[in-house]
Amino acid sequence: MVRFLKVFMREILNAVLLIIGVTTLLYLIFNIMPGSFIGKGQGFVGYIDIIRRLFTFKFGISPVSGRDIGNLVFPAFRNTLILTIGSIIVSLLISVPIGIFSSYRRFKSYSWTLSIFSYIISSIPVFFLGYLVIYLISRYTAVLPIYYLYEAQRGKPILSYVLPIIVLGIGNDSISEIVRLVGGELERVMSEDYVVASKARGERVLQSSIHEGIIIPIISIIFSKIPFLIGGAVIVEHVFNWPGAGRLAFQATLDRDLPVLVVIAFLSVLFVRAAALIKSMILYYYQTSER
Amino acid sequence: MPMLAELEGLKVYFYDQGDKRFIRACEDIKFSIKEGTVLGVVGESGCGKTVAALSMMGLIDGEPGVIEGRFFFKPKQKDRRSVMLAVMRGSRKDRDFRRGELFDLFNGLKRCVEYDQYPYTIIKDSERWLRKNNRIMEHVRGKNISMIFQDPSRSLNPFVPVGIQIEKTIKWLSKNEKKGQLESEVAELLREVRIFNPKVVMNMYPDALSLGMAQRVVIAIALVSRPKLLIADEPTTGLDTTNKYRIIELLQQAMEKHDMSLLFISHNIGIVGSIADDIAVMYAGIIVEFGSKQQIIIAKRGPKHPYTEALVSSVPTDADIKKGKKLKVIQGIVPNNKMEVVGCPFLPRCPYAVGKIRRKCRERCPEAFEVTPGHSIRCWLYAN
Repeated sequence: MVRFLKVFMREILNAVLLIIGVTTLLYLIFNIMPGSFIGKGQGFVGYIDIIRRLFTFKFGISPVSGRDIGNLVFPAFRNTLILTIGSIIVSLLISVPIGIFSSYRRFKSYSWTLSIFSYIISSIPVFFLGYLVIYLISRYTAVLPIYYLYEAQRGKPILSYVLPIIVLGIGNDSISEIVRLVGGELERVMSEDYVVASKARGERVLQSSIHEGIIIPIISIIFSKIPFLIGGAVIVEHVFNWPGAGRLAFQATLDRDLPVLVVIAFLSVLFVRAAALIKSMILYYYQTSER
Repeated sequence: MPMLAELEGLKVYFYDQGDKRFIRACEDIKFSIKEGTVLGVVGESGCGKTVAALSMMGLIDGEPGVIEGRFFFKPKQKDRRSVMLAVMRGSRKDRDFRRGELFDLFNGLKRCVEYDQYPYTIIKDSERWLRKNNRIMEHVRGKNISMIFQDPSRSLNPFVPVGIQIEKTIKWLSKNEKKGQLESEVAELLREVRIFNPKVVMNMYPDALSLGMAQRVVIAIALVSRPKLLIADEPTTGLDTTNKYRIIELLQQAMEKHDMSLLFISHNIGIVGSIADDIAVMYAGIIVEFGSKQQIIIAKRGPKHPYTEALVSSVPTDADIKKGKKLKVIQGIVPNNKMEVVGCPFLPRCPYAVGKIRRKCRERCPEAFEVTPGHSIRCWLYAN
């Protein structure tokens, strides 16, 4: 329990430090930049004001669009969250079987074909893949919507999640990384002497090797990928006209909507640190349940 | 005594991707194990003893190369039907898959037969040897044949307490066991291999065990299934002398208790002589001599392969030690497996290859000549 608290507190402290650092930097830069927001030019008092607003989640009204920032930002982040998590699941679904397969049947011709295939698809840039998919889908089928459907319009919004998630899942260049990681780790574990010995006892070793070798690396790589995925989501959101956080940030930058930008930066930090927290909690749970 | 296992014409080559040539690990290995006896395999390191044992278990996988041969084995009565079905399913039409009660676990299959050609043809597993062999070995590995590996501390999972590892094996072999029963069974097994505080040892991780203890635990795991054949691959290497003989005693007792046969691999001819009934002497991937212990070690006179003779005489006798004689060594080294060996591999070290016979030795390696019943030697000295 003490160890758990230690890990937990370390993560929380990390998050707090990062938030203070990010907001300080933003406040300094925005003070130099043209444009206006609440607390500008008031020094430390203004900074405290911003911090208070951020931590109470009462962001106020955007001076550019005149809308409540909370109503603007939260749906966008929800959409980005769905996109990110969905794309991670898609990447995992593609890459883990390829990795396991190509290391388990190492000398088969189709195993290296699959590895090369994984490298190829993860080296296609997202914007190209996105437009390609839109073109193919809209030209030859009418199955899936190619842009975000608001509920007020006709159609089901859930269907419009499919294409962006798949495109980001393929194009976020984590597929080849996971394939290489899984393949290498599994090969290492399966060639250990004790695994050969348990094979000689007639046990099936694949499952226990997967359990032993690749779960921890996969968890750590997935959660450390989340910040990059948010970056990759910006392009996908643009291609698919998807009302997510990346597009909102881009728009706010063009409009010099500084309060919105501060809020987005703050929420992104929360998002990333939350992922790190979940990661260390899962790893902690996994390591203790092993013993 | 009825036969338990017969290995015939086992040929194992590995392909060296760098040098683009085959490494000859085993060439035409042939031996047989009778029920309830011990076969000792002796030879210097790098002679292919371990590779022969691993290929008997079907554990050489993944790497490209050649595996060929026939391995007849008599399974337990309980598994007889499933083994027979598995063997029959994969068998080739033109081969007989059984010899009396013995079934051909290798199924007469060959793997990768295109020698010295473009590398890709070698990677190809032409008759799906691996898959077919695995299907048969499912019923044999662990249940009928168990194996003890060279380094006991490395053949235990370092992250799991040894008790749980034994439990896992028990659970794997018999599906329905209760928890309390399992623990007492593990304790029983550990007591059987002379670990007198099983409750303590059960919760230890492998790194906390001494080498002798680890070896006992490994033997306990191998004995879980009451196998018919136990392959012990250098079980005494790295142990001190008293422990060596204790382990051997342990193996002998287990054999008697469970009516088990033993394939004992070692490079120490003294140890092999103390446990084995039959002995196969291996050199550079071939079996140079096969016979009973009486014929090979005890008999002072009589036909012997020069290599066996050198091995036996390299063990000092009491008289030698008293006189303070120098230890005898075999001149030279084991030939590199990568080289294409024409003729007898022992020729460069052989003191008998002089005069007329030397030309024959250089030309080709002889077949096994049976000098007396059950005693065969591959040497031109005994050609009739």
